[in-house]
Amino acid sequence: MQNKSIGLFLVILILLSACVPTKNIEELAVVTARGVDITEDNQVETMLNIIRFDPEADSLFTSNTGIGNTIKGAREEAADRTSYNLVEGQINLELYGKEAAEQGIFRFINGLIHDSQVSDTMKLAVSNVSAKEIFNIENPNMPAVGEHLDRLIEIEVKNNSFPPATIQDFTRVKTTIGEDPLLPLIGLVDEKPTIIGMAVFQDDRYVVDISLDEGFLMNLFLNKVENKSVEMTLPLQPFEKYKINTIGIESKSLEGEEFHINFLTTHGKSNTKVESLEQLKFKTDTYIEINLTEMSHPISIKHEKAANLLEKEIEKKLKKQYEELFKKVQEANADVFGFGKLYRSKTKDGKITEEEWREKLPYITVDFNVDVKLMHTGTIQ
Amino acid sequence: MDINLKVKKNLQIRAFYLFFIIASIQLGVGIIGAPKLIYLESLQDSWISILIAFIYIVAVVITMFFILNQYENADIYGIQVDIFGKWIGKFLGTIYIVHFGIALLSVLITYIEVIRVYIFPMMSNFVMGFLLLCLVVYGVLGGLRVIVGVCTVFFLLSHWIVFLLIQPSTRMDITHLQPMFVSPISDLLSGAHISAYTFMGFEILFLVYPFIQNKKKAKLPALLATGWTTLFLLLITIITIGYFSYQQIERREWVLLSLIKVQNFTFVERFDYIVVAEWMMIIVPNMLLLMWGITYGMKRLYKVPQKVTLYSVAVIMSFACIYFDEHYRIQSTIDASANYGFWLVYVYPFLLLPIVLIKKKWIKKKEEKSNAK
Amino acid sequence: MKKTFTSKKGNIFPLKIDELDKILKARFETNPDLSFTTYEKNNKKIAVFFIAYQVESEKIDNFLLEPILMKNIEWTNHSILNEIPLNGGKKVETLEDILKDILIGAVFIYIEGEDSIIAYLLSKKEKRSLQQSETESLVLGPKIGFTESMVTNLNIVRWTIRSEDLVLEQYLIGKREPREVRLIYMKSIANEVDVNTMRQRLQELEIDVIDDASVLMQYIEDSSITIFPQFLTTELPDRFSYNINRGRLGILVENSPTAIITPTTFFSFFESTEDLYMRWNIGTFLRGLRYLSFFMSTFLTPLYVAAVTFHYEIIPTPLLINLGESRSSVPFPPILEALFLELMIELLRESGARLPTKVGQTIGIVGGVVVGTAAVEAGITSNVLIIFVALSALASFTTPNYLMGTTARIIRFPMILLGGFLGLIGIMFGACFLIIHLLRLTSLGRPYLSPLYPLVPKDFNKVLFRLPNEYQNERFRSYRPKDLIRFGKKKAKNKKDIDE
Repeated sequence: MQNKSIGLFLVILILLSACVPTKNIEELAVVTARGVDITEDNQVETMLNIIRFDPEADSLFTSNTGIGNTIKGAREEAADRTSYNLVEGQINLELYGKEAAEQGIFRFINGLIHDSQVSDTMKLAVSNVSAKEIFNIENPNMPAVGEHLDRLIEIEVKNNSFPPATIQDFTRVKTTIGEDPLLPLIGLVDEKPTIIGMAVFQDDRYVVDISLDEGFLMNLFLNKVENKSVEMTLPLQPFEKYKINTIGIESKSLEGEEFHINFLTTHGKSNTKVESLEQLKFKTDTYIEINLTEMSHPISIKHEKAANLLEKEIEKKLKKQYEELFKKVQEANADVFGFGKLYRSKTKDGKITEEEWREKLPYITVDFNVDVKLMHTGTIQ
Repeated sequence: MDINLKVKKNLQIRAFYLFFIIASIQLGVGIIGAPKLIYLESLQDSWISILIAFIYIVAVVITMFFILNQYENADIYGIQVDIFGKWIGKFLGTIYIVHFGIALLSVLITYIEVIRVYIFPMMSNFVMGFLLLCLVVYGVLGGLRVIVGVCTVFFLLSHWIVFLLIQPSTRMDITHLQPMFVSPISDLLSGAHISAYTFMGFEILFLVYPFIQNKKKAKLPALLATGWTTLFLLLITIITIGYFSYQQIERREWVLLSLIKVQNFTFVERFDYIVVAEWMMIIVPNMLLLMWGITYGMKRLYKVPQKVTLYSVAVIMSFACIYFDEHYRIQSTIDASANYGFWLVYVYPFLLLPIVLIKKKWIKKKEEKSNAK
Repeated sequence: MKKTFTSKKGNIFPLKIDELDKILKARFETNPDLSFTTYEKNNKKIAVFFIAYQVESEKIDNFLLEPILMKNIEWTNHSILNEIPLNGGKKVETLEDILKDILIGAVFIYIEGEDSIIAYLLSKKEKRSLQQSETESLVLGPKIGFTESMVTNLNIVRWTIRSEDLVLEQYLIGKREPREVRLIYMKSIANEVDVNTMRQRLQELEIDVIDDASVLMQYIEDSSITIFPQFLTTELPDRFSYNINRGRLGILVENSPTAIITPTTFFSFFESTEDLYMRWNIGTFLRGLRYLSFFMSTFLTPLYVAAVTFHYEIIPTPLLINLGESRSSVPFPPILEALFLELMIELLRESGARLPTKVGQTIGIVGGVVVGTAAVEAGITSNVLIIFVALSALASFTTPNYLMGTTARIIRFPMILLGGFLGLIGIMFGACFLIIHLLRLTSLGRPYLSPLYPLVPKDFNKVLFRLPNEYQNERFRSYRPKDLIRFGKKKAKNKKDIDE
């Protein structure tokens, strides 16, 4: 009897299995990256980087465009023009054109969250021109712009240059009350798509951009940072005492008011506290440990005093940078630092709306306090 | 019918399996979505709600043991008949059977819905229900010993999922959990009320108790199991709240799967697919125990052979799956099952206990009187 | 209780020698080999009969006929048993017993007028010499294998297990062709319930003839439907004695080099005595490798089929490109492709097994290299799949037991179907079904999946991994041996600091 029931079950299984449509990979056109633009009549235009497995074609990579009222609609339109089954489960990067980003990108992201097929580790980025120019579909030399950008962002995030920029991170920060997201900003440098900075969002609208260096400051503020190399320019004047006299060598490069150093941040973290709820005062302690790797001028830091001076100067510089960055984003009324969520967590009932915080944001003051510790100086002292 | 059961030696199970039985029936399909529901009620203080629910459950479980220990070797079906007489007792027993039936159905259709949303949107409800019920029928045919085995083995094989929570937990935002202790008591209680739905299922204790070999040691594993599930839910809820923002949680149906979606490794890009499939190992023991409860109840109350009930319930269920293919229909079934189950599981034992005690005393007095005569 | 040589059915004696001759001749009508000779000594007729090539005729001449004819004694049954210099003489009374014994080489002496007949077992048996086992091979440890001769096998068993505890119960099974079966166990270790169950199964077995030990095994197994072997078979006395020493029962069958071991669990099929001969850590690694390969051989190809047919999302992009490229020129859906390749591997294996060793190797090379490469180049299969199929085939051969290895290969086929029709859900369904099935199985009434269920954590160090030998001082709890302790645990060493 058991035999019969197992047999019966197998037969039924095979008969009924026709209900599940297959997605054989060789029949798919797998979208790996997508660029999104808004056209003048407010429609969505998408640029797709596609992998498809056509034994006849020279390259696996191809691209396609589509226009529609929604992203899915644009995909359908694009799908009409390909003989493969266009699927979205492997999109690694979605790039929003400048205009689209300025109008707000949540409408696009919403569709992505709805779809269980879409990966949550997909990266988002904004371009300072239209996405079409970045993707530049006509250019046969760059069939897989998306792939390239995906890898660029991945490496930079791994190197701690800026905070991670996956769709998950973006929506999380965006929907957290009192915090605004950041995304990498892509631009064309010598006709090649490159990361040129970070785009600061107010809610889901791209409002202002900051440089890559400032991106690092953001990362240092938001996350723990390890193993990141940083370049910095310091004034030469305080170090006059410790200058090594290089007799005979009078190089032009050694003149001037400033000098450059490069150091490796081996460990860095920030801690922000609410000083006063009523006066909207915040205080941030940033602590970094650095290894000196390069100096443009021969300065002796054999003495502890010299080292302390160097630390002081770096601290001063970082503090200034932070203050400038804060001013910039505060003017744009975007709270990328997430002071609002700290504020909320310290209030009694924890209830504050996004709008209430926006009204308060211009009036907050922050005391950036940087503590630098020079750990090693390499082989030179 | 006999109030007390005589269980053959080879059908008995050791007490510590109670841990696996209760843990597997409590961890079901509900836990995927539970953190969201609790969070919506009691916000960042959800963990307090869960702890309140846990304390309440401990009280219920101890009450259940107290009731069961009044008898020599009886289950709930027997106890009810003993106390309320043949008719009302059997009626109450039938309510238990219906409760198990609805719970079984809601587990089945919820899991099918998860599969349809995450993996196969075109999957026919009937096929999926049929497959799952095949497993259930095959397992239940093996008897309680095999069911307990399935619980044990699947419990051990499915808990690696916890490791997938490590990555999200490292990226939690502590401010999401602050400020603490702000939700009013009423919200906390309604959060606890919702957590209680997720923890339902341990009423199976009323049925399996006669099968336990060393009854004196039964309390600890049962309580440990509820502790385990509480810990599990607590962990998921805290990570969910820390990882997602309020709006995100509010909009997501199955937050646990969303959490797992964040993972990727070099060899597997998406873990949510694997976890949805793996979840079968969590719901199968669940369904097996419920199905066993139904067949066994029918046998106890109406002397219907277990095989007959098993096959007919399986057939009914697989056809019922066709009807429940719409999200709102599924939702209303789950809600109905939860509401109705709540009274049966969390309130009824407290009502039953005094009646049992009074009856025992009364019988004792009667015996004393007859002895005196 | 036992079916012995002297069960009483109907005593045909005493009778005249002529009558005896007639009865026998009637039974052996067409058999010219029965030698029936009548001697007359001291006015007593003495008949000696046997089948010529079944007995050692030298012994008959020297030790039986010579004394009978030379010694001047009044021959009776009593005096024969006392005076003849041969051991193992016994009285037989029924015709059935005579016929049974004469076939296995007994010599009968009948003295007219006596009420029973004397039989000496002087069987001569042609046998092959001891050889290495072909089906099971070991790198370390004793390599001798069982042979077809029961006497030789018993001799080996006695030499490997030199204990007075060893019990070798004898049964004759088969109505038409009775065959000797031995139930072997350690009296002070083996569980009595198990022994009784086995006895009962052997005694109640009604069958005309058992062809081999493997056949007997199928008759006495718990479930005949399942694909999983429930009793362990081995040709290695080494493995046999290892199991007997741990309290399991062994069965040897006349004319079969295969020994049966019972009760077993699913996990004991992955045990090799080699794990013991290696150091414990290496043993653990090897055992882990075998479990992994069982898992691989069952699930690797189905997972490939499922991923390629339904779940392109879970494949990382670089891998997706590789898979897609290799699939792009294949005209069949993945499920057919996989089934085709699996079938090919099975063909190779089967043809290799049927052919002599030297030709078999050639077949392996021709099939594996030539056909495989050609299939890829012809665009019938993708090269990635060839790797998967070959890996899972390799993996299935790591199982120390041939029966379990075959099982692993067979269950792959329904798994591929499930994976190809229902993707990951199908595979998960298959896995759940498999586990429930394993949970329902028993071996000699003992749960098959022990020590996983019933959960016996103390047995894990014998099943899932190994510990250093001083911690292995208990036998398997799962089999409930009479005597659990193998040896007393060493006392804990005093804690020592460095440089003391």
